[in-house]
Amino acid sequence: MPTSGHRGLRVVKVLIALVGLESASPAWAGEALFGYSYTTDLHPRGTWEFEQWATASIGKSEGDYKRFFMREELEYGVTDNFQLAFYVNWFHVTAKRDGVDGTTSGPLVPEDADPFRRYSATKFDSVSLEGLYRLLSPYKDPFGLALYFEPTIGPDVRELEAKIIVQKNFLADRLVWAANLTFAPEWRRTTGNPSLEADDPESRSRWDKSIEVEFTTGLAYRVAQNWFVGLEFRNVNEFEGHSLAHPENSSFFLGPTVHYARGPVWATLSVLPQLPIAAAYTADQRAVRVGGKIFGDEGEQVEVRFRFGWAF
Amino acid sequence: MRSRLLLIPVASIVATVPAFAATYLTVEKAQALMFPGATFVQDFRMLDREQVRAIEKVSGVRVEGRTVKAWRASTGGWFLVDQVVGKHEFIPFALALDLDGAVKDVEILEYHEAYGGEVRLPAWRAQFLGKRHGATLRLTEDVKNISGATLSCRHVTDGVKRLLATYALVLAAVDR
Repeated sequence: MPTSGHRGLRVVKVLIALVGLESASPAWAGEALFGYSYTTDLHPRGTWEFEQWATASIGKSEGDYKRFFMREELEYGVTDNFQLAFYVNWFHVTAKRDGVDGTTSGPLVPEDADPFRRYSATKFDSVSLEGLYRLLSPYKDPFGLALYFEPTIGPDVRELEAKIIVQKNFLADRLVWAANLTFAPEWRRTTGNPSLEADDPESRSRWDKSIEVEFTTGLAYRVAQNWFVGLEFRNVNEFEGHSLAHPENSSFFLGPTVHYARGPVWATLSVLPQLPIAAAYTADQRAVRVGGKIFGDEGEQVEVRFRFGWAF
Repeated sequence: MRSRLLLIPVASIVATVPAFAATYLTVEKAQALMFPGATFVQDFRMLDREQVRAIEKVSGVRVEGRTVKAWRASTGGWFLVDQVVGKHEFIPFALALDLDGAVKDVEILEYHEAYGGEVRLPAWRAQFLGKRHGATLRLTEDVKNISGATLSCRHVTDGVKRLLATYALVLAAVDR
């Protein structure tokens, strides 16, 4: 039975500690339940995480095409509602006669590559800085809401990616739904194809402008301790130039996602085949729409994304 | 060279073996800590559907299992063990109630998450002391939240609320 003196001391200790609790606003460790869809979960203030991304984009309508886009990421919780991250991005691409016309081409394959032979390269792509700010928490508010901004710069690419992230949890946080709307203007340098006429602008190196507007959503259920299994959907819309007035195509992806987490480590795998319901809005895009799917410089048969995180 | 580079993600997983599982208190140790010198009589109950519905209605919290793990303390009061959903794993906890059904103590028995172990802090747990069934226990309003542990704070709070309702609707009759 505590004495009144002990009780008084205990009350003081409780009050002191609660002041500390009150000064820290809520947050939760940021980890990816989905391969593509972000949630509003962030790292607590002052904590770090290393994250490895590996995205394999596999298969065109013809030949052989594989692209492995890798991102090494370091995340840091600046405040409980604001997180910064730094990425180093690089890729490996290998392609052989994968174009609809039977030539070697595709994303990250230079225009001056030999059209009838295999092209393979491993290159540094870019660095990115990411800022993620949470406005509402799904654990305290009716739903989670966060804003995301990520500039990217590299020898052949510039991109500004902005995202709105919404999250809603159900069934005592066992069922998680997330949705993202992304707007990403991009400048990508292309090598030019010297085999074209000299007065053809595509014969020279240039910066191509485009915008990608993407909607992603995912639903994941905690099937057992440490394990989430779900479905993820993407709709990718490409626009020519930096205006939404010139849509090029709209492609759709749907597939399963599996997430495992234990303590400070977690891993997520998403396998998203392209659905045969893509829309092509230009003659060029219609030419690379095969079996209802967009290929060319935009899409592949399937995208497989693996993410691994280690919080420290 | 290329194939070696592509193995980096795999190597990073292999090199990182998660090796922690924090069990802080066994049931016996928690009993001794929360009711010093007492002996205990196990009095587990199996909730019927009506009781489950009634508990969920008055507490606003979902009943996860129908077995109520309860012990009567020789010094008076009840010792209850339950678990709530954590970020990755369940969080088992113990609740000590005094003769009047008020919270005497809350202890976290195990915690396996990377963040949020602060729910074990005496200051945070002390917020439940003296609470009875019917008390408002809303996170951030009645119960302070902890940075990096919002989900754990919310579920432990809900777990206490659920056990207080369980006591009031199922166990309190034994004390009358």
